[in-house]
Amino acid sequence: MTRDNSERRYGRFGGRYVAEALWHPLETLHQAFDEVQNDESFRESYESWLDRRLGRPTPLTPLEELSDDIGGGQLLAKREDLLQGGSFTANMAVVYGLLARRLGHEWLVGETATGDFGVALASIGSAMGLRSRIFVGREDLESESLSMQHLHQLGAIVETVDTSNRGRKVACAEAMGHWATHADSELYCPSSLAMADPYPRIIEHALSTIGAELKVQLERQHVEPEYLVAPIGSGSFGVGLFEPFVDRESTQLVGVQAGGPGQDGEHAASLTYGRPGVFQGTYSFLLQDQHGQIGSPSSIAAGLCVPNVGPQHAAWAESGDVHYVAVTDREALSAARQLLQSEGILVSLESAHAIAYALKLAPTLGPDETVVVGISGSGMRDLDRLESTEPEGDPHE
Amino acid sequence: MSDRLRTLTERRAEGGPSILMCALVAGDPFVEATVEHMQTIADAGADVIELLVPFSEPTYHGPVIRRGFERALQEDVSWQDVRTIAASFRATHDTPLIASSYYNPILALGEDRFVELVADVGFDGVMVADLPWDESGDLRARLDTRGLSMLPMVAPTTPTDRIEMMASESETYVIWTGHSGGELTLSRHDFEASMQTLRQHTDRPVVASMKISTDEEASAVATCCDGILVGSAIVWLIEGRDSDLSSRLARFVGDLRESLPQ
Repeated sequence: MTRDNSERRYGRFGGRYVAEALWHPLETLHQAFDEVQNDESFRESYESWLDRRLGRPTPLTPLEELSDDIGGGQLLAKREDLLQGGSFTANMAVVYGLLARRLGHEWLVGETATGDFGVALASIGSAMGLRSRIFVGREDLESESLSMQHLHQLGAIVETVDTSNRGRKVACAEAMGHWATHADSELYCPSSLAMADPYPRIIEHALSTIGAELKVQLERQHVEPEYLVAPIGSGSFGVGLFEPFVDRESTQLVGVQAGGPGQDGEHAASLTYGRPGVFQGTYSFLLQDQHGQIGSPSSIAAGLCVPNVGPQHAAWAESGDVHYVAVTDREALSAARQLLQSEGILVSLESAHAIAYALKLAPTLGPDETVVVGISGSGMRDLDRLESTEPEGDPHE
Repeated sequence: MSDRLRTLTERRAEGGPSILMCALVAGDPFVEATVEHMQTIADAGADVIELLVPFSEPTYHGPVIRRGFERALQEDVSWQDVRTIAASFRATHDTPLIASSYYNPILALGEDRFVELVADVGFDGVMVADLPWDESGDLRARLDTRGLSMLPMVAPTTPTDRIEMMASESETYVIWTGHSGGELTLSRHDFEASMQTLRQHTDRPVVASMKISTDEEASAVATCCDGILVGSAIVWLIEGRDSDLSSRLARFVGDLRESLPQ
């Protein structure tokens, strides 16, 4: 591995592994991003969009009924499901929109699997006078019809990518290929943290608002949590939640990846079962076979169903700053139902993975101890899956 | 740089014939067939062969080569097979050979073992689609110890200072990657202008990958640069699996050869 250019790296992870055609567009973006980080007017504009448009800060909700039900420690939830559009991704859309305007670009180009990010990008794009082009795999298009109608009504251009069954991986490749030929007028806006530099830095910057906000909320309530738990797909949401807490030794950070159906080899737990490699522009943990061919992830939660993870998480896994675990589809479904029935909160199946792990932790804690769970999005789009997968012998039915 | 690649680069730099570089996928549709196709292509007039080693996520290749990769992966093509193919070809031919892939299969093998393999078996150079010049310093240094080169790739988006950097840090001819995922990024007119700009920043021969599929296109492109790289048109012929594939392949490459300035 080249270890020059350490600014592109997190420890030995990260980097910019792209075709030559993409190097200069990424370098231009990197320079623009460096400028705005020290630009007070950009920060003010960003914060104003968060306050006045997205509805920040999002609440920190005590889950009192659920905590009582299971006994042990207290559970709190940081509620990105209550943000505009029902997921954390709107924060990223705002940063991309502002960067595009600064670069003089007219188009936002992204890809979406669950539809959340595509809708967020097109919505914020509309509000900023930018057009949007969203790449979607045909299978995702068919399984997320509500989001696709939403995109259509927003006036976004939806580019359908025909694939066998590989979801976001291929949509992402098409979006990048498109960008390589339109980098003068369009900004590529990935939602995945597992991307070439400078995207991991941009996404961390956009989303660390969530962790920073949580820090203030906890201080006001005089709470110092024992655990902070987040679902980890590519890890965008997790990096935003964890980053402001990484130096705090009193709080154990836990990233929850998808354990999938729970059978051998069917999961999306790159940090537990993967090994380092280069995919989608970054060197990080990756599901792959012995020949370096990329593995197919498996999870009921589309947002967690990715073969790789952002470079920050790879570095934190190696340093031990964050503990990474996996939770199965069945545990996540059960946790989603339990939260809904005891608190009336419908969270995404991605978030339900974090809830499921918190439900394992809480009984091991005393009543004065706290677990904070990051809720990355609402579960409206997962209702069908909750209905259709009601398992026999579910302990909470 | 290997003697074979040096001879080829210098021949063109000194005003010799255009360079004809042909690409095909290792193990598409099976290992023995690839060796035969390479022999056919070389005999028909190719100056250099790019042997594409398949990767499951070929982001930067177009649909035809992606399908070639899928077929080869169904055959479980491995680095061991690449060794077999190259060794068999080297037993009969002296045509320069380029090993071409994505970075992860190379990392999975290990950079040291990769360099050992390609050097031992008679490759002359390496291309890695997703390993930009700035991230390839270690691999280039390793290749250099065995007399092998990484071919610099430039794109329509490459600024002139990068062209100069890559040219100054390499010795071989330069590859112009004029398309991305199979889509041409420039009109022919813009291509001509780009080649003129490129000339102002390097005197190295430039071989253009421009999605060429006919000898007319080959001729048009080659008048503006020093040679052509033809990949998807060859993989497409192989995909057809005609009963007279060998003669069609020979005819196609022969026509390309004849269409190029001598």
